[in-house]
Amino acid sequence: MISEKNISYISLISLLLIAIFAEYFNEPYLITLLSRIIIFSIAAIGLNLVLGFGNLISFGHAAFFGLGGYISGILAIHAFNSELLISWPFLFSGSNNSLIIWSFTILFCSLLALLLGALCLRTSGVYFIMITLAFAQMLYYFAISWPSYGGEDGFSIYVRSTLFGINTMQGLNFFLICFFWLLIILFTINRVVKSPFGLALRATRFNLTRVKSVGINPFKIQLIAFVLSGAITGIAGSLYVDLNRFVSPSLLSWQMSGEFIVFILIGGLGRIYGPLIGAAFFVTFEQFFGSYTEHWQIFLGIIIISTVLFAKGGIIGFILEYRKNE
Amino acid sequence: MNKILQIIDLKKNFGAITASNKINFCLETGEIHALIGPNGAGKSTLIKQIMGEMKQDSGEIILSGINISNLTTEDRIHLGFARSFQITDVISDFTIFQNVLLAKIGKEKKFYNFYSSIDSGELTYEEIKTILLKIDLWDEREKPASLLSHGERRQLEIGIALALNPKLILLDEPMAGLSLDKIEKMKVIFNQIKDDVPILLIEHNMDVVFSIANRISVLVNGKIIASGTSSEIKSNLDVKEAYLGTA
Repeated sequence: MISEKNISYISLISLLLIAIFAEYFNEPYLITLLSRIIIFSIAAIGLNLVLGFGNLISFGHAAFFGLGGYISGILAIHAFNSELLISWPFLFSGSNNSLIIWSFTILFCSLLALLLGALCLRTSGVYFIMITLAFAQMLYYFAISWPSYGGEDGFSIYVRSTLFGINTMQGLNFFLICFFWLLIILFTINRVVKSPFGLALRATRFNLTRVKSVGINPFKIQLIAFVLSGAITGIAGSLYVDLNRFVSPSLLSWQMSGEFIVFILIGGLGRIYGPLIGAAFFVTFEQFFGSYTEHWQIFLGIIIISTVLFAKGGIIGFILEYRKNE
Repeated sequence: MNKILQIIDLKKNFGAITASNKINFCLETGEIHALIGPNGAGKSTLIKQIMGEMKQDSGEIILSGINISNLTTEDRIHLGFARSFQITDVISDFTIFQNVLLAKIGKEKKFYNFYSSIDSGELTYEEIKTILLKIDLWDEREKPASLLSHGERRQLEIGIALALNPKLILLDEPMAGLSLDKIEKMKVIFNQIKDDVPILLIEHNMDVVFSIANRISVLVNGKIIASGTSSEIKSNLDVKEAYLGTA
């Protein structure tokens, strides 16, 4: 019997096994791909909290992904060049310690999400989609016109940040760090969605009047979810920059926001493991068809359309439905 | 007997029409108090004033000692008003259990709890079980609200109202559109919950009113012309003339 739980265990274990095999057969490129899958799925898991469970269609989550990326990149490049980042009220020249980088990422992405959430959540529906997109685009154009950090070209950071003296330049080690993050975040989301807060959040997607009538303020619930969501997507941005050792404004582009939504749709909207399955499918698909034709997105388009038309629960929903009918 | 809701000299005019003419009336603990009256008698106007959706011209509304005459609807709900069948929406993607749980979470301000699992039976499981047993939906607790029949949906709404721990429940035509056996079932449920929460019942079905109401008040032309037990009302000549038609 295939349950959602089993699908999730199978996907996590296979990720780990493939990575170990890739290491054994000396395929570093494959490990990078796996790390990419995990990082993208973390970003989409963050988005899924508000999109899948709260029905808040944020088309601007690249803002958090990009901010996380830029924070990590800026801290790292200053540490690498021993350049001062702040000279007042204390001297600070960046850091290449992962723990410090992650703390900064979580702090600033939460703050950005609090600000954007407080503004955007006053709207709903199409207006919410457009205003989140607008804010993300503002950050994008800001990054493009910021010459100190490479402007349109972005900048490289040469080495990955370090964690407890682990050699993060070694592919499998870095993969394991990402994998560990994925486990923490999946665990957190799983708890949150099943908590009283999660129930209230899920209720806001159906019926705001009802939620209010039992004494719950939906705005606060949605705002908290938005902050948590932004922080998670920010962490993904930080890991992504570390993986590629390269920061560019494309992290902030609307295509990035769109891809996160696609991961969720393909994997299964409002399912905890949906984004993971979706991201794995997307990256694999891109690799496979991308090697035959540069127009691989045509095929992706067909798949997205068929998902929306015929398999509304995404891949996970499709498998569960198929099993039920058997 | 303790007075939960007290209405004193309530007046409301719409131009030359007097919709509420010095209404005096109270709801006591442990009772079902029915408010009846022909169409246009001013029942809706009275209910709206009680709920705070319409402001009275003069008079007072007291909820267990607190003067709520000038409070908003939200504040009144907060102080313990529960009204059913006006917001007829339950959350249809949630199960019966989740719908009642949501109300409980809201009432007890547990919505900032990120950690406890709602499936594990921690939290307010026992209290919700008590409520679901009272409204006779315990066995169907895992059924999504979208699959409920009209009658079950009404039962669930009462459950949601109960979960909010109200001081009184205001039921606005709860029997409308229900089959005969469902009506019997609802009567049993009302009789079970009235000991915890007094019920103010507005109902057109006279058989229901006469069989379950402990007291009945008759509203005609904005005035309460009679108030008493079923047998008193049945034998009251004024009521017969104004409402039931002269025999």
